Amino acid sequence: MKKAELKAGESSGTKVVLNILRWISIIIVLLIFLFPVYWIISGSFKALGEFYQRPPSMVPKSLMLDNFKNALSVRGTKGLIDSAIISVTVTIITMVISIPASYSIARYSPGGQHISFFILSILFLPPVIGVIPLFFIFKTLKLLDTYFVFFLSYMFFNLPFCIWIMKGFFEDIPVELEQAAMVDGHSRFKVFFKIAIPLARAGIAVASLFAFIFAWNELMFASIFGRNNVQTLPLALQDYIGSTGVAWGELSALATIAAIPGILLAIFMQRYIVRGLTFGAVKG
Amino acid sequence: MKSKKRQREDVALTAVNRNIFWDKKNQLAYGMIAPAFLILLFLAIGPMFFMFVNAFRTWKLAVPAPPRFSGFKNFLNLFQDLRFGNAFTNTVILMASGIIMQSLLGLGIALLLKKPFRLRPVVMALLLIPVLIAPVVTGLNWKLILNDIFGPLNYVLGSLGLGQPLWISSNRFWGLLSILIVDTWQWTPFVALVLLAGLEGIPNQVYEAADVDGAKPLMVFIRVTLPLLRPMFVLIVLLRTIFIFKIFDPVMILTQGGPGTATETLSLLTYNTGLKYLDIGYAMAMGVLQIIFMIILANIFLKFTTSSKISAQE
Repeated sequence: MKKAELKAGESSGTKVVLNILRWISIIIVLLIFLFPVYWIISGSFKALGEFYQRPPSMVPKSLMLDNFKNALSVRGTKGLIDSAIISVTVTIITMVISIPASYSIARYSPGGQHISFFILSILFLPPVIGVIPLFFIFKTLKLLDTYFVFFLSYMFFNLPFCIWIMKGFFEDIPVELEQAAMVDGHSRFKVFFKIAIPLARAGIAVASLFAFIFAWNELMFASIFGRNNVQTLPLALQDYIGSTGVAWGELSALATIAAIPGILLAIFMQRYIVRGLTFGAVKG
Repeated sequence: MKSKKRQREDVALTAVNRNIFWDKKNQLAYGMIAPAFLILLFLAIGPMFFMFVNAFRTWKLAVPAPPRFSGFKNFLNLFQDLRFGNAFTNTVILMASGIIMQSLLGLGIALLLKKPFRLRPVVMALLLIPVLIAPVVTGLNWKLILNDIFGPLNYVLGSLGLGQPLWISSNRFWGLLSILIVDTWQWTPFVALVLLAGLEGIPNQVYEAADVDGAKPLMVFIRVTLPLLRPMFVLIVLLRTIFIFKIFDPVMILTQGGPGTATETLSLLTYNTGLKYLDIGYAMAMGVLQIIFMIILANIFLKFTTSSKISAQE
């Protein structure tokens, strides 16, 4: 009996040590992955001199907001407004088009496997392949540097992605529910709007947030299709970086603003992000 | 390619759906998908057509000569082009090293988070920030951190008495390493969470059975856990291959492919060839090769996700 007690005591002792080690490792992991985020946010409060300090200034000396003011007065506001206009509009258009499409594929599968394959291949295509021909097509149509070209071209990745993600959510709804409603005499439209859409609302929310964030973060299309009339935030940031970054503080402030939607999405949509980014292969 | 039996079952299923449930209303199905299909047709098929036509033509906008058909000349040139070879090698290096690094680190993090604790959802949420933050911001972040003169990383290395590399601007090795670090920072948490989902999908009975057999923890890990995680590893390799294959933003922001062309990747080279040097035919030939590769990958992915059990796991 003594031996058993001893063994139990020993194992609980090692357990505590292991637990402490585990927590230390988790904290180290968090520090590594959050430090760069902290660095850009803290940078947005630093005066220019602080960037060149040795040792590097870990905490900004004061919480001054000059950087935000300056960043937003030069190019930032234009970028912010354009990014907001484009991301919101693109999200709305994407959802209006992709909700019925994904429902149709999930329920009726018109065109069979080929449609799924077509959608997935577009999603996997390197965007640069689409962007060069589209540049010439849009140039011929005199559409470059307009909002319209952003609305349209962002469908290139948003539509396939949202259709693919929501298809999985619609497939999760038991067909029997809809059949029962139809037996009760509801029309197909009513079944779609009153049963399928409410039951797939999590999927719709996930898809729309992804649509928003993809449009918000996008750089390559923006750098080719935009210029003076339309300049999204990533484009404004890239210009800043290109100008051998003197105004690090302003740059950090603008980057912090650009980072906010991604941070919020990560925090509030945690459960669904893995499902989204594995194209529905992993259901968390 | 599904097995004949499954294909037949599918056909039977859709037939049942059509007869009992969706009888004669197929117009609706097509109507619902039509807008999406038409837009994608314009955005994907249009460019595809443009690409396949011009890949077989010599068309340089920098030279005042009209485009003319040149057969396989672009492709033959590609295979002898050292710059293309360099971009291809860089992409493959990033792919291989990225997948290895991210899988190993991701597995470590997944194991750390395996046992549930109260703050775990918070930790998971915080870890997802790198994946969703705008790539421009990520690039900028790391440009500051990796700065050879005032970056915090070199300060730490310096105070540890280690060398202080020039990172981004030094040479191919350090440039590629910088890009690898950024990509690994961005994607390791995602890989970890996929593997965590895999770990949680392993039923407890499996471990209990191993315990009854008196297996040591390390043996259980090697003989039981890792084999059962295989579908997740396959998924990760597929997804990371697809994404690193088209890696663009971090390269564009960190090194612009430089110094010289040392860190150029396939996407960046295609971009430069088409939009900077305006050698459209040549860029489109590169595009065709990339499309072929992607179509093969999409096929594998589709076959894998429809056949394996991972989608069934909760």
